[in-house]
Amino acid sequence: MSQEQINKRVEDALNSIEGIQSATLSPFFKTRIWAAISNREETENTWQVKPVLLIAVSVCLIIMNAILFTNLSYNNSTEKNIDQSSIAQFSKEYNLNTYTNNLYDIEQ
Amino acid sequence: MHLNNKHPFLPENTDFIELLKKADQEAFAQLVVEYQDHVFNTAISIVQHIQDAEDLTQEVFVQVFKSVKEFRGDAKLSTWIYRIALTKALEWERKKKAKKAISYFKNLVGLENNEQEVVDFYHPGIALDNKESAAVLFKALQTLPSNQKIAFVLIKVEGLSYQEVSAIMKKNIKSIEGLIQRAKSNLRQVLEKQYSK
Repeated sequence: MSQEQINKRVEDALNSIEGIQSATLSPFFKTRIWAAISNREETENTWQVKPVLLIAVSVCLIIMNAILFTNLSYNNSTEKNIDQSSIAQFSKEYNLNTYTNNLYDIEQ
Repeated sequence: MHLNNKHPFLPENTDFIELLKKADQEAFAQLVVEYQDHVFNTAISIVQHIQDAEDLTQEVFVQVFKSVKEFRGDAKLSTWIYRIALTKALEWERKKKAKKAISYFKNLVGLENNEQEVVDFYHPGIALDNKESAAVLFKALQTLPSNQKIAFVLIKVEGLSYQEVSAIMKKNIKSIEGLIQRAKSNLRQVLEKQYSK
């Protein structure tokens, strides 16, 4: 193909969209759009489509559990300490030996 | 009806926009009827597939319905709708390219064996005499950078004025003129290569 022919075809291609008509849709297309909007609203109202909310709730639950667990174990250890110190004090006052293995100490 | 001779945009009155914000079904139906062909015509020129363009048009209006409450009126309603349409169309293109790349990779590795043949796109609004030339032009259009492609489609296919396109693309008129010049020059190069084969 000569350069002249190529140029002509290029110009033809560039001019081919002169006078182009609009691509049109059916006037009933709005029904399809409305149906899509209604469908989306329905699915958005369900819990399934809100993973962000689910993740947030799960994180909250984990944090609350962690806090409760930490507090509980702290309380248990302090109660234990109090119990042991009060027993020790009691035994000291009445000159009692709290060590159980001493019961079998014959020499004492 | 030639595109360059029409501008049937709805009056940008605040009452109508208020009705849209209140999710008035009748107002929204009116908006769809008025703009659906503009959105479809823009989408089809970019994605170059009728079914995809229909789905895209649907997505655009769903987005418009969802976001109209946040429409502040800084731009015209038509400008805003065109922006949504273009954003969606470019997003659609990116996804399609990504899918193509994955499919190509799978073919290469041997996980998949379906060669996707490139089908010529025939714009429904093109006169029969120009059908073949226009198909070559639309194929060449796909090689342009996004900005040039958008400017070319809005001005040459959708028939908007430089002023309207500058508002849509948030660029001054000189920039739009530059984009059109570069688009034409790039298209000429691609077409020359195409016809030289």
